[in-house]
Amino acid sequence: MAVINGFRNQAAAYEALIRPHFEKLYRVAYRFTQNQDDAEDLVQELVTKMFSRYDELVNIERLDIWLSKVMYRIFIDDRRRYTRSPIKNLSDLDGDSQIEYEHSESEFGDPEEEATQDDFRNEVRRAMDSLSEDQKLLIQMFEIEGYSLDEISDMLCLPIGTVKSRLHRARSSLRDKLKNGTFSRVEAC
Amino acid sequence: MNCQTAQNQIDDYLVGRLHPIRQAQLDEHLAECEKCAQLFDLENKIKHALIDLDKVPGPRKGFADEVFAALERPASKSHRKGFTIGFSSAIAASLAVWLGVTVFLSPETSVIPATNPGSQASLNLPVVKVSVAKVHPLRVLFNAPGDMQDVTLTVKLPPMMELSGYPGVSEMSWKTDLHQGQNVLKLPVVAHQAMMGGEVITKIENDGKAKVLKVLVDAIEDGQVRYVDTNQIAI
Repeated sequence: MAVINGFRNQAAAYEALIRPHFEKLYRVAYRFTQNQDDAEDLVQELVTKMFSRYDELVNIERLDIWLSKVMYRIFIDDRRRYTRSPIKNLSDLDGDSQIEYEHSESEFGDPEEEATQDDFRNEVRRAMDSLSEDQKLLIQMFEIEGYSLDEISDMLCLPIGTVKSRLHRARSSLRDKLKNGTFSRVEAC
Repeated sequence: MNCQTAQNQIDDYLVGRLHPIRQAQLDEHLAECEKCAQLFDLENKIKHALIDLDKVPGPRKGFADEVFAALERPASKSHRKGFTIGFSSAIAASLAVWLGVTVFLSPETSVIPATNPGSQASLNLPVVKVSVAKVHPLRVLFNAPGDMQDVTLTVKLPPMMELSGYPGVSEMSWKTDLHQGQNVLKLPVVAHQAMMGGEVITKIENDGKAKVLKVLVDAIEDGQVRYVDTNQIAI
């Protein structure tokens, strides 16, 4: 049996390389696809595709960013393919046709205590909802996931100036949508 | 520091990327300028609301193991298995809705009835419940008796609902082939406002024949949905 970097085989070595980034990759995939089902498919596809490139991956410095970039390309390609044909064949699966659906239960606090906060959160959610997918993604990646402008630029293959200006527009748009209820434009002082 | 400079630096401050000296200068300005302090408070509130609202659940337990285990399977099965895992996980995670339909096209268009405990009795149509503003993968399974070429699939969504990734598009059509057996049409739908009984219409046409599947969607504001709904839709 071939031993690779002390691992029993290439799959084990590859797993040791990728696993530390797995959760982060899943989160990014979720940001791209906006749902668990597609996020899982996307991560699965990435991990499967990159397996044969193990030798190349071991030399990459910011592997999480690099893999996220590859994943973004896969995501865009999948979306293009979907536009051409949304049908996938499942004829060779053990087709359990059970239909199951579940909503996650929300946690409920003291309604009175949380009313104001909830109102604001709902406003923010509605405002986010009205943004374009690209704007939403930028805000999520920057504000919530904490990626830097450089990292986002690298991941989405966009010039940093473009990321900066798009993010600025996204934030202004979000703020503008919220201003009726909660915000009066700040004037120069 | 003037207001313009202060406002330009608030974002960096909130994400912890402002140099300590700049941070001290900004703090000083915020202590003196009520308007900028208001903006800072608002941005801070937005940021926290976003984090609260937009939590991404981690990968489900066992998912990483499945993905890495699949690597050690023979290459010929790998791709197929990859999809199998996605398919199984969707069911395990109980986040997908699967609707089956057998494709024996009749000459005239027909609405496919369904027996479903949760359906509206008067209409006898399947009902799917979703949360507003969240993407839900709705899947339609077509059981084709044989290979079918140049099938036209059309999906029409109710107002305020769209396919994720296709903003503002309420109707989409594809020319595609169906293979013998199970074919899945995946519809990642997202409702932008609460609705009851919004109709998602899937039409399949081939050789002048057509079949229509209607599904009713109840979109409910998040936080109001507290139940688990299991639908078994037999057609």
